[in-house]
Amino acid sequence: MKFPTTIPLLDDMLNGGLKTGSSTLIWCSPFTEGTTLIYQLCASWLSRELPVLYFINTKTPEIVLEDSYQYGWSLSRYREEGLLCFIDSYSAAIGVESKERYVINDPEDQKEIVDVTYNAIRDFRARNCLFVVDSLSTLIDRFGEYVVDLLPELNRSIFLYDLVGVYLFTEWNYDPKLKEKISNICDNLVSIIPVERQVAISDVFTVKRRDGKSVEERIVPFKYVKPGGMRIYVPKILVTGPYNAGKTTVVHALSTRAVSVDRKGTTVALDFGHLEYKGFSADLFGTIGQQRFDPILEQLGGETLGVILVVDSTKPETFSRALEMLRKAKVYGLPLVVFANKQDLPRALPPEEVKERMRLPPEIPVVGTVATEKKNLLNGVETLLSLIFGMGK
Amino acid sequence: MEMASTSATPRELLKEILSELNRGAGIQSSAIVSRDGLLVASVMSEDVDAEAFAAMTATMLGAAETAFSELKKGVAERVIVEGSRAKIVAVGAGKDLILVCMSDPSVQLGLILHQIRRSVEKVKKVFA
Ligand SMILES: Nc1nc2c(ncn2[C@@H]2O[C@H](COP(=O)(O)OP(=O)(O)O)[C@@H](O)[C@H]2O)c(=O)[nH]1
Ligand SMILES: [Mg+2]
Repeated sequence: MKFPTTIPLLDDMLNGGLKTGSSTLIWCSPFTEGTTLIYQLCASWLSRELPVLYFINTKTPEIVLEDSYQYGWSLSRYREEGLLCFIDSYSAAIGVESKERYVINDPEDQKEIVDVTYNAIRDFRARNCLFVVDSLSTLIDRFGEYVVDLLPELNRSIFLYDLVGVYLFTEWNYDPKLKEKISNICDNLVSIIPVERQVAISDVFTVKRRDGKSVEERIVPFKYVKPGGMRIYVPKILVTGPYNAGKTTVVHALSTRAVSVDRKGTTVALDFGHLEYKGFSADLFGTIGQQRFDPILEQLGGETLGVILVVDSTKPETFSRALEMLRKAKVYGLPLVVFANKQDLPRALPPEEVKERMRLPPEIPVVGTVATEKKNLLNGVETLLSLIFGMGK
Repeated sequence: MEMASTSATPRELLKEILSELNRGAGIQSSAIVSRDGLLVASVMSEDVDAEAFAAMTATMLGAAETAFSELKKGVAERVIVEGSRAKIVAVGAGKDLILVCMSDPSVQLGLILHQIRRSVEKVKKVFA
């Protein structure tokens, strides 16, 4: 069986999610963060009434519950019900008494760790239980590279007992040979790395290995939001188009929060809004239509990942200006969706005709919208997101 | 745990530079923003929408620079906005970045500018 992680593109890249009997390594570059992703997986398992077994040696179970609560997942209830069980290999190390079902009394004793862990995973056999190790790097720090040699057998048990294994690993300065070895030990390898694009820096994830084989990498920018957890993040979608086409209306209709710099109802600088949609998060930059503001348009075009071009479908005479704005912002050639807006007005040209009159290449989608009624806007956004991320390919 | 302490990422460094700036007299929050309006790093209270602030800051400085070049009076060095409850100062930090900070209205401008200038030099070094 395959279980979706509920993170949109990650599921895509994993061919539908995490498979029963498989092991997955979450590999974090230094200064990136993978624990929130782990919490999110736990929450999604538990919300489907599937059990979670959580090996912890980096903090107390209480802290795990508190941290995940900050992201909107309240997991305590599941711990009381016994659906979430910890293997506590931390409390004893700081002299705190542990109330968990599985406790390692001497976290320096590797044999005890191994014995207790195997007991626990046998107890959860045949239930598609998510088995988390948080964290593998801490185990390696304490017991040395030898820990890595234990993993193949652990993975075999995960396979035999129908669990879903997920290890968290942070890549501090380990020996390159060891890193190489670790990277090949699990069925799936999900990597979290910081990427610098010109000046903006964002974290991305990528799947390097799937079902035991290397795969072609696709890079997905993301951020963690409270509440909600991991969101695919598009730092800039440019919403542009001629004066009065409906750009401001579009940005506000799509946004959970938005601000505009208006003067007598016309945007004089910028519309800005946050969009949250199906696990995606995007920041929308609405530009100014009038020609005299083009220098600012040129300046704000940088680092755009995708473009919404809004046109008034009743005003074909403005279409050439619309195309000129794409050139000015230097975004021609980026993923683009045209909103043929004001479809509610009697003289509106249908989307196909707008496309024809603009002489757009056939692959550029034109969607008919009514921004004032939020009609078809999310459809258009979905189309744009799938262009940006090459989804369904 | 052995940490690669010598090689903090640019983002970590930028955050440290901003925290240092915020420790200065009267400065409450600060951010580094790209010229095209994206947030690069910020240290500000959670109730501020940092991304929106970033976009507006870049627009403000961009508009000022455009105005100056239209007037053929050289380049705009900084934008200063004095409000009743805060001052906002935005300055260019190299070709691609802007440093912006918010301070108490009572703090002397000269003092803020002096502190910002030091931070700008540090920011430039990060990307040197
Ligand atoms: N009938 C109709 N009016 C619209 C639609 N979208 C926007 N408008 C109106 O068109 C005018 C200009 O919209 P605005 O968003 O400010 O355009 P902008 O200049 O591109 O930002 C406003 O009066 C809107 O209410 C639409 O789909 N149908
Ligand atoms: Mg507008």
